[in-house]
Amino acid sequence: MSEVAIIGAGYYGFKPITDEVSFREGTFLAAMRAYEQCNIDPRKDVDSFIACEEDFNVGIAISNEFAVDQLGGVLKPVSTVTSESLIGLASGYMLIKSGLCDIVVVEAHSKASNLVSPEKILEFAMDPVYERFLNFHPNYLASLEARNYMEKRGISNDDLALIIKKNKENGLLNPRASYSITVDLEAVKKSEKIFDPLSEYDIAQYTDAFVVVVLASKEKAEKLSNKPVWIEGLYWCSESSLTPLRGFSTNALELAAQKVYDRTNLNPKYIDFFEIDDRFSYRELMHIEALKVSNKDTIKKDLREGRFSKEGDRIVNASGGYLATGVPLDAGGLARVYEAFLQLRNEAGQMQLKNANRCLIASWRGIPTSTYAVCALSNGA
Amino acid sequence: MENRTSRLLRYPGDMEAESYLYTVGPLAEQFLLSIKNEGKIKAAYCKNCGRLFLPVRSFCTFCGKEVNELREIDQEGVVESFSKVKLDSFGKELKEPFYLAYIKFRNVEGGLLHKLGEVKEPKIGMKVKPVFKESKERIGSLEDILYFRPI
Ligand SMILES: [Zn+2]
Repeated sequence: MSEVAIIGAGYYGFKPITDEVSFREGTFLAAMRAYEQCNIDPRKDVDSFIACEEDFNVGIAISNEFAVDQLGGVLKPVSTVTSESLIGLASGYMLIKSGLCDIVVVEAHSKASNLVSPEKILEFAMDPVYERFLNFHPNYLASLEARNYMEKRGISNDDLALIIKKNKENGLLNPRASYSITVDLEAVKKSEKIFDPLSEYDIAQYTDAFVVVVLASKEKAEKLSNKPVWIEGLYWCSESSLTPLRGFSTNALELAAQKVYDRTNLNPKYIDFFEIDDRFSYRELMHIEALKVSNKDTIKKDLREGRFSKEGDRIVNASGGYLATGVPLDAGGLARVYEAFLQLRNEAGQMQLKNANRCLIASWRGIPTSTYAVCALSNGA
Repeated sequence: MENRTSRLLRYPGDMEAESYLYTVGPLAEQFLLSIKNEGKIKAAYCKNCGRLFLPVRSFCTFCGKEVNELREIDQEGVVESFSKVKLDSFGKELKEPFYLAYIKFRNVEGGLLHKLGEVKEPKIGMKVKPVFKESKERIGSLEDILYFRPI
């Protein structure tokens, strides 16, 4: 079985609104940039394409049928993964691992600015009998979880403000971080807890983004790229679909991460930086625990001591995370792959971390789901 | 794209996905009918693994076997978490904000999402019980429960 590398990655957007392109051109521009990076012609060199689309987010029924043209995939195998894009990456990985393909392209995008009422789409993802009858903004599911978690750990809004500040300010050096800002802690403190106990500061906004990555077998990767980024391991897992049945659990993420650690003989000590879902501030902490980067007894102390900052010993979301870049719907996982790809190739400009040889990415599909994927990437150093 | 000097047009569209009639499922139907007819919350009981759980469905999430029995449970619930809901599902401000809560029941896996009523300052760990609509107004829905109130 061949090793699998990422040899090209391109994006377009990462802006609140991309009215200058439709979803087609946005994807096309991201794809061109990815192909140019590894010098491939999609019409000749690519064996298969994976598109990660969710019809309700695209606003087109059977939207995967729309994915082929802009990727250069006509008359080629194209399949859709209707899930978080890191799970789409896993499908591409398997196509190469199985020996069926040598080069696979994975695409995901967000045209969130086209959604007039994104909260209704989230509500529509909730159980029609047991959850929807209460007619509340779906972010209140996060409110319930946040209050429960904060009480259990003794974490205050001031603690959450440290995450907001860290991520939004990390993003100041990231050209994709449209929501980065110097954070005034007093303003955060005074902000209305509209999603009690969370304020708008605690919740990442949406962004428009298009991301395309090119995967290759070892043989092809070494031919086409002088800086391949290797997929060392990945796994994904889902818990019960019903929020009231599973309660406030991230067991599925813990299990996915443990699989990756076991299969790669890695543990958090060997990871130089983490790119993880932070669409709600408190969620960054829950995910850190699930990845065993900290634990329930040390999390508060580790946070207050700044251990998750760029100067810390367990760097989390140096890119700024979703709090700084915005959430690109299901393209989030692939967006983090892009950030890691730059760091691992020493191409992250002012954002570049000193020792960036291995990254762990953890993605979540957002409320009301419990679907997670984890991926370990390395530059082979 | 390079030949653009102004914003593109936007074309309006709707998804015709407004109306569904969801089948609730055989055991969930019994669950909703016991709320309607008896004014009681019952839980699904899995013969295979012995768990009681909510919400009700005809299979067990934990052991994967078929489930076809409801059992009575203690109606006293515990508030696991709560939030004051100010925005509806369209993001519009509610005229009458309400407390949303996640409520668990003794010896039952899972729980229910519902409203809290007759309460000034909810607390995690607070004990509550359901307040039902008048029996003639019930339709076989979680909306037959008006809210949960502190005991
Ligand atoms: Zn069972």
